[in-house]
Amino acid sequence: MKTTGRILFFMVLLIALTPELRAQKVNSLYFLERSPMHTRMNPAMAPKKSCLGFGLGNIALSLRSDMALSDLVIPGRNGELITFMHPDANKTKFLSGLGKISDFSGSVNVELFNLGIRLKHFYISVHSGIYADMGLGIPKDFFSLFMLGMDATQASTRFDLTALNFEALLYTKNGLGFTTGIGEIFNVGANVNHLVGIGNMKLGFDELSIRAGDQQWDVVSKGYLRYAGPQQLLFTYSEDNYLDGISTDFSSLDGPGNLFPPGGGLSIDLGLTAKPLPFLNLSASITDLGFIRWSKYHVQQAVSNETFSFEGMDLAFGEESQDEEEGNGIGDQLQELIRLSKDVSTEAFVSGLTTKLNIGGEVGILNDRISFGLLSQTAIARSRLLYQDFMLSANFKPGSMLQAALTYSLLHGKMSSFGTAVNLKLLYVNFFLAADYIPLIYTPQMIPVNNSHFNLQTGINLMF
Amino acid sequence: MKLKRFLFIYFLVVLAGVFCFSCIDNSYDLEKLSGKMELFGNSISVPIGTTTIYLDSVVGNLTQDSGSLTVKDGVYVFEFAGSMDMSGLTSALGDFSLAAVDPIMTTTPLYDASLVFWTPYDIPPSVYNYTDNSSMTLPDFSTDLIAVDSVDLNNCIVRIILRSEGLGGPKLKESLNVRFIPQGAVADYFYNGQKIDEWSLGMGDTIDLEVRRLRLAKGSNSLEITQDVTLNIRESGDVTALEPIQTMMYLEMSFVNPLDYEVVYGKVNYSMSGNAEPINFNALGDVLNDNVVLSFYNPQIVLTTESNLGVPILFNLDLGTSNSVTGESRKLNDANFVMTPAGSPQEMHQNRFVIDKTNGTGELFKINPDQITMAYNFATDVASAQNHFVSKNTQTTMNYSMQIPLQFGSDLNIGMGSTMELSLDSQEFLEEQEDLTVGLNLNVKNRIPLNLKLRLTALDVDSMALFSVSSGDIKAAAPIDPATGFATGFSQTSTQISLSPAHTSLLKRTNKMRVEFLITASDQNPFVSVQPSDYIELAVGLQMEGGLVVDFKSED
Repeated sequence: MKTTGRILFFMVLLIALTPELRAQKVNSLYFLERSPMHTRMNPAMAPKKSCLGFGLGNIALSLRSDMALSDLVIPGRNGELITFMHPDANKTKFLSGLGKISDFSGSVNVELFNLGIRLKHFYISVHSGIYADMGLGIPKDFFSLFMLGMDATQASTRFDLTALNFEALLYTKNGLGFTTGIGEIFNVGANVNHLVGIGNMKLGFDELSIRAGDQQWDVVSKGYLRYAGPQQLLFTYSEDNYLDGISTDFSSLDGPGNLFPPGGGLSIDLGLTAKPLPFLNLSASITDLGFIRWSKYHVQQAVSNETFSFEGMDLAFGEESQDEEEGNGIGDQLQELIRLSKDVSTEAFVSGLTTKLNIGGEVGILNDRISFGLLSQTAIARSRLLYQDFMLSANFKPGSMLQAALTYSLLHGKMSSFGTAVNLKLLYVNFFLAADYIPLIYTPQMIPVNNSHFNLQTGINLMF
Repeated sequence: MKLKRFLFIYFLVVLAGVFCFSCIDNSYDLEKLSGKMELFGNSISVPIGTTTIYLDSVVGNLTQDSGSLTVKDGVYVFEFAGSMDMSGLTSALGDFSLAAVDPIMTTTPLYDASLVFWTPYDIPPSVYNYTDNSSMTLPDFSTDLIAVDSVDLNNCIVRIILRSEGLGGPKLKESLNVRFIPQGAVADYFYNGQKIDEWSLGMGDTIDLEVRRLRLAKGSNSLEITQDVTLNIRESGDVTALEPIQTMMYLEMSFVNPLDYEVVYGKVNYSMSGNAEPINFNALGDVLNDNVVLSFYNPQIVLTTESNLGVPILFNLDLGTSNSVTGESRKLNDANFVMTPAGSPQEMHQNRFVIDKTNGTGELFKINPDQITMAYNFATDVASAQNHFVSKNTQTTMNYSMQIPLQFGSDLNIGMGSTMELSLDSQEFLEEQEDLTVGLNLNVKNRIPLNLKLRLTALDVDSMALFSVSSGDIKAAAPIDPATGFATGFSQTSTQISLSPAHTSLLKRTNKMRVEFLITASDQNPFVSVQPSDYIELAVGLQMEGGLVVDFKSED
């Protein structure tokens, strides 16, 4: 049990995920109004047909990183491919290319059920989906520590790992949407979503630094690891009250709060479209404006607020050390560095979603068979701007059977950020597929070389 | 319509182009991805750990086959004790006995009645005086062991009986008196517990006298006694001659019991030699290396004797040590002593002899012996002016006590350590290391008054040394109390052991690693003492320079 807990603990710690959770939808679908998921990005943009989907109605996957494969591996001599940590790699160059923090994230969204009903000018929808977002932020000094180590000319070297963080969030969203036209020009819409928090885990630090010397490492650790979720997942602590792993116990499913989900919340999506001119569509929406409140009965928290010196193991000359029995592996030593201890004063807390403000404009030609769109997407979390993305889109809409878009995102300004979207409708079956960051160069194993971002959204629905 | 078709086809071409013109870059073939990674390219120092090694945890656990390790006055002391076999001497003395003395009978003529015409004949009243001497010859009590000079006897009774021939009469007993006068001072006679110089008997009487001492010096070898006989007849008829013969008086003198002694005086001539049971000396145990100078400052051997023997004994102790591994041996030959005798037979006299550094005992241990032997010779000092005496129940014991304090001399030079099996399975891992220099940084707080140096020796499967690396000197604790040799402070030293790339390449052939502390004495004092509370506090850090190369693919 203990070993399993440790493995779980450090898997969670090391899985590559984002610090700011960004449930991604593929922007390339934004201007394809016949797509049934169009309304998720702007509630005012509802499809013209009724829609029904089960399980496969919408599946979205997103992976984001600050580093592409080409940053991590380098063609070397004699056709050999080397990693950025290879002895022949220029590590200083690699490190100089890193930002203060390197983010890795991923998200998955599966729409379990969606139903939209078109009643003339009204569109009413209900939907239910599950969302999983995970992320990890690794500070630059973390790479410096393992790649270069210490400055040999100095007695000690300081590594600032304060930015080390990760978060994982799992929740369901069950919503009701309403769209209607206001006159000939405007459409407005709103989605009201009930959020059910299933689990949330977050590690963060106000300060985490190591001053590494040959005889001791002075560590400042001020941070926390917080988990809200089913009580069957338990933090375990050593005899001296330090977190040493995570265990699972499904023997007792009863207990305070077990009758209720760990978290509950609300979010709304608001949208507005305007068609001031026959060839011009303007749109604006704000999505995922909401929160999840996590019940204190489901919160476990370990905190650290320590300054201490790590002097290695007790070598216990000539004796069987208790440390040996408990293991002195790297995992144990990492735990020893962070020193999270049990915080009994856990309280309910609120976690916000990443809110997105979408503002778009679309100009159609040839009777809107072809249109060109510009989308601005602003992501905000905890009153902080996460990113600003611009997308140019060339859209082809020859008829009700096919709509397609070719997009170019300016988030990174590279050729690799071309995207595309296709929406096909054959009789009552609607299929869509979209990706914002289509790789242009692949490895022979079909892994994108230059893309640090990748997303994909697809779904099959009945439309009638 | 044509336009719509054109646009449709155009868009499909563009869409297909986005995907189809995506290309495969073979230079990024992950099948050719090298698993080599270099960690800590500049350097890395990691605290491995700290430990405090108290001397008590090392020395306190040492066991000795035939001795013990104790702490006296704060100093560790190896103690061994045993006894010398003195049974040869006591047995020889116990076998000594006094030869038997033959009885004598002396005949003294009295009144001559051979010419009287009738009998019984009334001897005329008068005073008749006669004198005679008795001589009881004593055997030669001396043996090769003891030239007997005198003897204190135990319960030695000499019986004297008077009887007559040819005399009678109602008052014969009252009329005839014999006065005995011992001649010389050969024997001391006691009657009823009182020493007497003469005694008298009437005719027909018997007397038992105790002889307590015999003096046999100057050729005296007999008990001489003069008998003055007085026959005082007051009235006729008191004493009669019963037959017409020369009347006679017979004196019988004999020892009632075999002679037994309490103390024999005289020169004792005895010598013997023997060996004490060898001492298996583990000392600092198997952790000591060969070719060391184990310099104990002041090992002591204390001999104690206790005896009621009144004989001075010349004693010689032949102390030796040997190292069965190196074949070396040392001897201490000049340990000669004189056991002074007891002042009296009643005294259990004690002698105590100390053999210490002034006798060169320290030299015995410099070879790191594993066995200590003790042979001894002793002989009675026949040339001594003192008189000798031997009690009937002679008791003699000789015990030794060997005490070896852990006080080290200035030439101490030992290595203590142990050999550990190494299982370096990942030879490929070592092959990857081209520029790696590995070092152990040691921060040492030394409370032991000895200089130390840590040495690592890599050994191959045949236990042949592949390479050896040492730390710098770890300074001895300071200051040191000059009187006791104890450290009263500590020293701090930072030093390092480095393994160069050449060493790491040899690690592939390394089967065992010997870890040793090379120990030398501090030069602050002629000697230093180690005590249980002495300790060494080690903070060990690992330092790697040049990058640690690992190949994850090699583990496949």
